[in-house]
Amino acid sequence: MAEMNTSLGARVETALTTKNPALRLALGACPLLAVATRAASSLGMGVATACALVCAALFGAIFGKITPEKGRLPVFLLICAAFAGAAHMVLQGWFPAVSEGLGLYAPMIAVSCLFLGGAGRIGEDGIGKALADAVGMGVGFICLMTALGAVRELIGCGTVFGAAVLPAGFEPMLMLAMPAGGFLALGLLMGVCNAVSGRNKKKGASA
Amino acid sequence: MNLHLSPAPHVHSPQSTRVLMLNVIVALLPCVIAGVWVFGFAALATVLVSTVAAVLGELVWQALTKQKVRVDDLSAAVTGLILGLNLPAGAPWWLAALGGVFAVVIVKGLFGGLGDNFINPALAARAMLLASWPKYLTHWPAPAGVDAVTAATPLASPGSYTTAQLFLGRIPGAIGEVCKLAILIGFVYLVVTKTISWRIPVAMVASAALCGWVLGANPVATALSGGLLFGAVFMATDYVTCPMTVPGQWVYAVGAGLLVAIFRRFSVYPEGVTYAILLANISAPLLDRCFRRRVYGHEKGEKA
Amino acid sequence: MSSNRTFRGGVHPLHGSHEGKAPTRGEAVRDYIAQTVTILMGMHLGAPSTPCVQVGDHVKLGQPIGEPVGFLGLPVHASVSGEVVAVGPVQSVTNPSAMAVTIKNDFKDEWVPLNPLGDVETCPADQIVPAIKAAGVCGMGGASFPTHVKFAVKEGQYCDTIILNGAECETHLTCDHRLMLEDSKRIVDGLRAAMRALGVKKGVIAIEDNKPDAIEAMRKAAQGREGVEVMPLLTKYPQGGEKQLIHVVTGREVPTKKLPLDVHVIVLNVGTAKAIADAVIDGRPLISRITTVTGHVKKPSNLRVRVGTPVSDLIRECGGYSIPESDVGKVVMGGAMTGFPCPHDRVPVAKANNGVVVYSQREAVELEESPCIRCGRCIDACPIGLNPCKLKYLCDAGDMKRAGEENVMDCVVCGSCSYICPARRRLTTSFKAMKDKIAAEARKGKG
Repeated sequence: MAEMNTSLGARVETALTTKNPALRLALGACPLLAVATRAASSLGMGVATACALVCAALFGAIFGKITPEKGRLPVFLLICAAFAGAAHMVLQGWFPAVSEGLGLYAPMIAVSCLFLGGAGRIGEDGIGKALADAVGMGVGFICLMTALGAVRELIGCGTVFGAAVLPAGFEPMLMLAMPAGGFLALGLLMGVCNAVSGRNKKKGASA
Repeated sequence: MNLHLSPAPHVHSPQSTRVLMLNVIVALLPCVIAGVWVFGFAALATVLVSTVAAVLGELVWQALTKQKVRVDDLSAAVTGLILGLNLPAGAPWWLAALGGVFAVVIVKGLFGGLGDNFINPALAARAMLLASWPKYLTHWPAPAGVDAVTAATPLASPGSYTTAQLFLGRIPGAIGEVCKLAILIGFVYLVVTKTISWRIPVAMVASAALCGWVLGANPVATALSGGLLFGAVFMATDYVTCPMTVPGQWVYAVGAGLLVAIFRRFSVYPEGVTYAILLANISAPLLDRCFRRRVYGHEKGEKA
Repeated sequence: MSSNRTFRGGVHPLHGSHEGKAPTRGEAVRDYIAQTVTILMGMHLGAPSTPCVQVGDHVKLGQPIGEPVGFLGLPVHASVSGEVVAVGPVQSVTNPSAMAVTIKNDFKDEWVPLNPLGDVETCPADQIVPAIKAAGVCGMGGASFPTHVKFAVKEGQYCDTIILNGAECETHLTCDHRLMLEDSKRIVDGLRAAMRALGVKKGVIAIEDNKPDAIEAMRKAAQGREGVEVMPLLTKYPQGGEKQLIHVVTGREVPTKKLPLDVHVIVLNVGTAKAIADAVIDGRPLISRITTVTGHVKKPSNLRVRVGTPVSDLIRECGGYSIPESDVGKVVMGGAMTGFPCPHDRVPVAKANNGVVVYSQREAVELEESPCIRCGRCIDACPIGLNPCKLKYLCDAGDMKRAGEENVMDCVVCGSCSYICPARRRLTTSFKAMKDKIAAEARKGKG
């Protein structure tokens, strides 16, 4: 059981770091570029996606066991759509401001590459492993979305979570609030992460 | 006797990278002088800031990433100079500096340094500045001595300037692009010193003027307005980002000119040279693949 | 006399200083006879000959001292009369242990009995090629291909044009230029002999237009000779490259991996033609050649030297180095574009060594390679139409397959791309290494 735990923990960690969907696999780039212009809406999007992802993984794993192999993908897509729809409704109902900010992208969670990325493996892993993966990916996605949103909001608008933090003379760099700026910021972030992990690997190798 | 054993050839063309870059800098000097003449010393300050920022940016970047520091090849200086000449006189110093650093670090350094950038660094930096702080790059100071703070460029209000004004540069616009005479002097210098071929500038301007004429613009005004001439001579001819084969260069230049005419006629911006050249840059590697020279002793398109 | 006949691509090295030829082109050829000669057994392309003399033997001028080995083999002859003082490996320009025979000159210049065929127009045509082989003639322009092998016309092949290469497109060298001025009749004789050997109707003497006097002299010598014409060419490197020359003169291209005979052409250097004439008319073997000695020497000259003369003798004969010996940076056998750097100045002159050029330390320092700026100058300069810029990446990465697909084997190693590259990238060096590697691999595959 202890071994089981460490392997699940390690799986969460892998999904969070070396297999971070957006940072390493470049999955889920659409919302990253389009939505992550404000910290708040990024956080909302991240949380909604992560919740939907975890639920979908749980039910996907359950139904995956009892679905014949050829039918798994459509079944899984249905499950994803259901939870994405639910997430969208939750947002609309309780967080109308966030929902407004996300616009079209909230219902589009259903077709996010994040989900499809995991779809191929449905039914192969146990429920525990599938959940661990989903939690890792979800949390990783939330972190990245929020970080990117905060940075883009800071430089693109001069605020963080809507609060002005930079001196009045600061002239925001509008490009970071545009999709082009999203590409730029994401690219730089990926580069920094690669550089850091590359250095860590080198250290590990020499030690 | 300490004999070297380096293999042939034992002589080299005097045109080193540095000499070529120096030629470009010399060719840009008339534009700098004309810019100062038209806009005063604020123009010089802008150009100097962006140039110094680009050189320092490259120096620091190469030192930080433990590369051999190669600022002495002058390519960063050329990038900074061209960027500065693309800005309005009296642009905020931080704008010019940020543009210079962005050009050499983000656009050039991150993609592998000189020779490996896929778009022109100065132009990409200008596009970034335009997208980020549009108010500084869409308001042009009027020439010194003209009684106005900002004025409409010839592209925004066609017909308000005479051809002579357009040619000599007593018009609002970016520092380097206003005086066509200075640009032509630079062009002749570059062609005479065999730094560039006449092909790309002539084809691009001709194509833009012709297409503009088809779309209803005055061809002479098209050629002499905005940054077309400056872009065609100094930016579309950037070795790194233009095709290497002659037929590729023709297509590239004609295509860029066509895009200029289309952008000017149909887009929300009055000017389109920046984006036209950037798009053409991206097509350059593909054009080089399409237009390969036939190898001696092979049939056309034959593989070994 | 200027011409615009040329090929596509190419470069103009040292164009501002008359291709580096100014110091020697007015220098009439002087004879120089060495006290000791070291005659290499491997002066031609192909297997080195086997020495057939021993230390202590007395040899006469023109006596065979090396026997041919294999299909591309050639005999080697004593270039002086005297005593054999050593038989063994020595340092040559490119080979640290090249078999050689060293002879101490007794200055009697006593010839062995010779078998002259007589006048080139009347001698028996079928004896011309054997005479050329017996005289040990190989290409004297640089590649040193055994000449008689060029005449080996296979079943189904024929030759309709013989081109004499008097382009001398290499920098600094004027030995062919002087030869054309001073020995024009012999050159035409050699061409006629070659034409008669194969029954060829057309002979073309191709000369770059920077040598109007040579064009004039050759035209005069060719007057009244059957089927011989002189063709001026534009001055551009590598105009004298075999493939370029054939294309310019005949409009034909040698297909990849084929030889000139496949397009019915044989190309001979003018020096080779002179050697053919000597072999046919006088029965004399190839024992001397003209070598241009220039660069940092006190008196740049054209010297007619015996094969095997040490380079240091040539330099002494030209007044020695004109710069302090410590400042001598490179001694190159051949012109600036394709010459080989000597490891020391005592290496012997071989049959194909057309020049010795001395560079100072400053001129010899290897320039540092910097990043490619994709200016495309190499693509414009390549006379073959390769993409040197791309090829360099493939060769440096050791990608034999893709380098082959980019036609690296068609590279003629002319040096134009390395010369023109503003980033000083050593393109030609990379291609040469890759060509050698692929050729070695192919040999391994065969046997």
